[in-house]
Amino acid sequence: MSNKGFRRCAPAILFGLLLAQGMHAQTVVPGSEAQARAYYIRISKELGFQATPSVTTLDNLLDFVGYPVSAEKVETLDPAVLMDPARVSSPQEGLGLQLLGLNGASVRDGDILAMRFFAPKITNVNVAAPVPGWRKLVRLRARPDSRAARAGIQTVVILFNFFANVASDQPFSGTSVNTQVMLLAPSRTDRLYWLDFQPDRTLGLQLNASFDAADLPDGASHPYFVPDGCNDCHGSPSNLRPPMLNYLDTDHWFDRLDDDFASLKTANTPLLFDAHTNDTSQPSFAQAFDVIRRFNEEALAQDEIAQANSFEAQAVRTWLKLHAQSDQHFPPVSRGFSLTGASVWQPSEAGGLAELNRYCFRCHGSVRFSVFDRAAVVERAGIMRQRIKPSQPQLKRYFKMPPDRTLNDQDLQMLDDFLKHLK
Amino acid sequence: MPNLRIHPAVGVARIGNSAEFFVGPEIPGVPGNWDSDNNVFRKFKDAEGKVPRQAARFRVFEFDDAGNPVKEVTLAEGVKIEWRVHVANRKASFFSFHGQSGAETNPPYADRDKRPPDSVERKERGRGEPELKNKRNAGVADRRSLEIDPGIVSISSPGSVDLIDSQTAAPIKLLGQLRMEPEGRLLFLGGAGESASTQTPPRPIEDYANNDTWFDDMCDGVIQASVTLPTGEVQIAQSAWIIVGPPKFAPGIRNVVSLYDLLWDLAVRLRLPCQPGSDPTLQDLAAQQQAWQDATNDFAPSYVPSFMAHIYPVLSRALAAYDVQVTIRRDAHATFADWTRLSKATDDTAQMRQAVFRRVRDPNSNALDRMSMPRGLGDDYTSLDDFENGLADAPLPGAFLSLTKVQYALLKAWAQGRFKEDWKFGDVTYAPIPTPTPVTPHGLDCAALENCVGGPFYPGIEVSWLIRRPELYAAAFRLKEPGFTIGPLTFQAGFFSQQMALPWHADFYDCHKEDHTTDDAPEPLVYMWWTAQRPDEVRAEEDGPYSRWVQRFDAFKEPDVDDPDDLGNLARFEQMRTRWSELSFIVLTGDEHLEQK
Repeated sequence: MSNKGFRRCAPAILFGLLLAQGMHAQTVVPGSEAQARAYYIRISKELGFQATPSVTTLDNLLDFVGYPVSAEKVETLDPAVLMDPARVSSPQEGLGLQLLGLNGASVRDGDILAMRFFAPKITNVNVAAPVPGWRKLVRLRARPDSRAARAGIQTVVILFNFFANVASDQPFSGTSVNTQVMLLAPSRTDRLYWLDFQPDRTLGLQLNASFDAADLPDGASHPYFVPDGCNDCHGSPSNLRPPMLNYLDTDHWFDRLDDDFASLKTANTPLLFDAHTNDTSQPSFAQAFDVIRRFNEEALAQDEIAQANSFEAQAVRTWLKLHAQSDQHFPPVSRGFSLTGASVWQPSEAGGLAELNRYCFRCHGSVRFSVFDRAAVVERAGIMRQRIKPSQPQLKRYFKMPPDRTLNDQDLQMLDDFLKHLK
Repeated sequence: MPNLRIHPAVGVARIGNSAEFFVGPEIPGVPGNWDSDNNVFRKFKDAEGKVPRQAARFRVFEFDDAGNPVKEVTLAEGVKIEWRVHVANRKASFFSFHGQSGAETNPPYADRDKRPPDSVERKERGRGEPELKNKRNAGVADRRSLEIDPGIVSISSPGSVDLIDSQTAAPIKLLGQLRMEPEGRLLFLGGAGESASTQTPPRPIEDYANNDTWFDDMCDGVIQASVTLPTGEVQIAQSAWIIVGPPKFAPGIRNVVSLYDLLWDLAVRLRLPCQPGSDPTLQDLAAQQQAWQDATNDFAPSYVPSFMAHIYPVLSRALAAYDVQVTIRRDAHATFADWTRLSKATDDTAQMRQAVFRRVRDPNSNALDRMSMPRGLGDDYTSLDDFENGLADAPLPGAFLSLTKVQYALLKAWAQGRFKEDWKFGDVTYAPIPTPTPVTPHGLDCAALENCVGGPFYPGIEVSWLIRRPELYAAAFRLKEPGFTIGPLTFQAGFFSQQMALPWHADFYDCHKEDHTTDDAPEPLVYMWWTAQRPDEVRAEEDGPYSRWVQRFDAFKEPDVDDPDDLGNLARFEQMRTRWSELSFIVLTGDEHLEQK
């Protein structure tokens, strides 16, 4: 029974968005203000949480998930306090949660995970001296009987973003410049909902970031609106499938001490900030590392619900396997994986992989493919070579990689030579 | 005994509602209405905003025994030329169009011809999907009354004559006009884009292709010429064919599979007679005929394609397609905008060529392949529709467009590094439009056909799948003289247009891109129909926003539907039928295709 002409489905929304937006220089899909507003209206209805830009606050959100406390405190309290049910419940030292329990439910061990760490992913590398990014991640289990729990939300992940000069030994002393929130709802179609908060902790529409900063003046950023800008980096380009939680790749953080962030190495700033050291043999490091391990286990669980066969899920499985018994830093060549049984990176390829890890992993750890999946790189090597050395017409069409900085000729040549010989 | 042939062997006219016209493409690579002196397109709208017709110009050439053109035959030196043209519109009396229904038998329509005209091809499913009978206007016993057939119309001196059927009961009588130029060349001008119903008030147009009581002024048919030499000797030239299509709204963009590509493919694989003479393009065709290996659907390694002639056209069309269809990423297909590297047969560029080729759908495969390129819908679209409506287990592979087998083999050779490195334009987005050279007989064939659709045929823009029938061809690019039968069909005036949508406007609206994303698709699967003829989204400025090409119609959608493309919005057909000439033309501006101001 044929007839021509009409198919209604989700991508139409995206195309509608692009129609409204026109050309954009960004490689990561930026989304749009209109789409972000429409998204908040939709999720407000779905979740019963009034998400109104510039009105809704992070405090409102915490209240929604059963933590009617000050967001400022969540942002500033030491993770050790946040993760200790007794201390966090204390009105003096913590959040005073025991006074505000829902139906008498108290905070239990594991209800809150919190960690602070170096975040090269948010750092603008399109400047002579990158100012390192840092993140504090707080993962809260929606408290029983909270409105969030009733709406099917299991957990909330809050990412506070900070930037501090290398010289600073207190990278978290300032205020979060942007706070990203993920609401994990495994039983809902979306699986994961996005919210973004501005420095004043009111709801915003976008994250301003440097993923595509190469064409911008020093320090400038592009906007990435919810949900499209978020989904693009979380395994859901075009919003086709549920987005996933990205795991925390401790190894990548340590890798980067050997290139763009050598000064951090010199300063010996603890990358797992709560470890207070980079010495993996220290108990405090093991303790901090274990928090990350627990978070990554949860990330895998969420990935498996959303897209079990994805490279993102395989990447976190690989991390968990390597770090099942070890807190050591594994070099890139030992972290390769394959989705198909194809060969993985070999020691002879370590140099090239290091380049990919430095210049491409920021996006291609979670966008379209992972540079740690050798077969995926081999398949794309020709196109990647075009992108790193685009023709003028390609440049005009924003066909350029990496999008976050302009590489020097030597690095470009090194990458090109490496990719050229991949088979 | 001179060997006379009319060229183009298949000419293409396009309808228009203006009194003005322009002569269609005559030089390969130079699109219609292109002003070579100023390197811009001339206006596609007249002062009143109406669309000028594209005329097809036919000429008689004399050839020597080797196939070389000796001269163009004109009225000079006492020569007389009589042009005899027979075109018709038999759409309303033909079988209804229903995808490949009719193509499954050999000869075509053999099975359907046995069924009563009013037998049901498919059941009614709702508004916009009416019940489909075996024949259009099944209840009309006098089938001739449904045809617009002016009969043979002659012109033998400079002037003009209308193609009019004063006998027909159809509400449309005029199919176009013949004009003879002072040199003796024939100009064929098609219709004005008119349509009308025999019913008052008109019956609503409900279907994209089949609407009883409706008529339009499209047509096709044979062009014949007899030449009287000063000696009094009369010579008959090999005839040509005229097809008439809607305006080509993106005249600078060609279809990934053009009608020229299709007829070239047939010429190669069927080894249709070809007398190349010294024409380099036809010599290339002859070389391909020799090198083609039927068993493998591939060329012998001895054949070396040209990047410029065989590879660039396909890839550049794919690049340009996204100027008239918005997609998820702005850099889509930009991998092609790298001609300097893609045109090198070195090891250094092998990965790039192979990466492109890996994405191309294999026309020789029997496997369903949704993901590959081109992202176009195919002749077997019905099977996709059936699948999505739970009526079939899977779509047929032909639900998606493939390149021709010859195009695919050429790309394969390129991917393997077997091609001539003849790119000479450096780092540009598109090769410059060629400076016009003197016309050649085969150049006229090519220029006419390369701007038409060679697939998919559902039903198509200018012609449909009957054009693929081998028995129609006398030689490469040349159809036989009409008058013979193919099963129940007679090859006669109106043979190709009879398969097309009635009225054409309905399908022209509905051949917008479609979304057929599957649950497991890693990216949106959006497929085009003929975006180079009928754009999907367009821009007015280089960095401006895209908008739906037919957006101006949206305000008139019916109130009970949300989306103007919804099958329930029958207003979309009426809008296109009455306002098609208001739509914009998309022209090359710098190196982007933008709405003509």
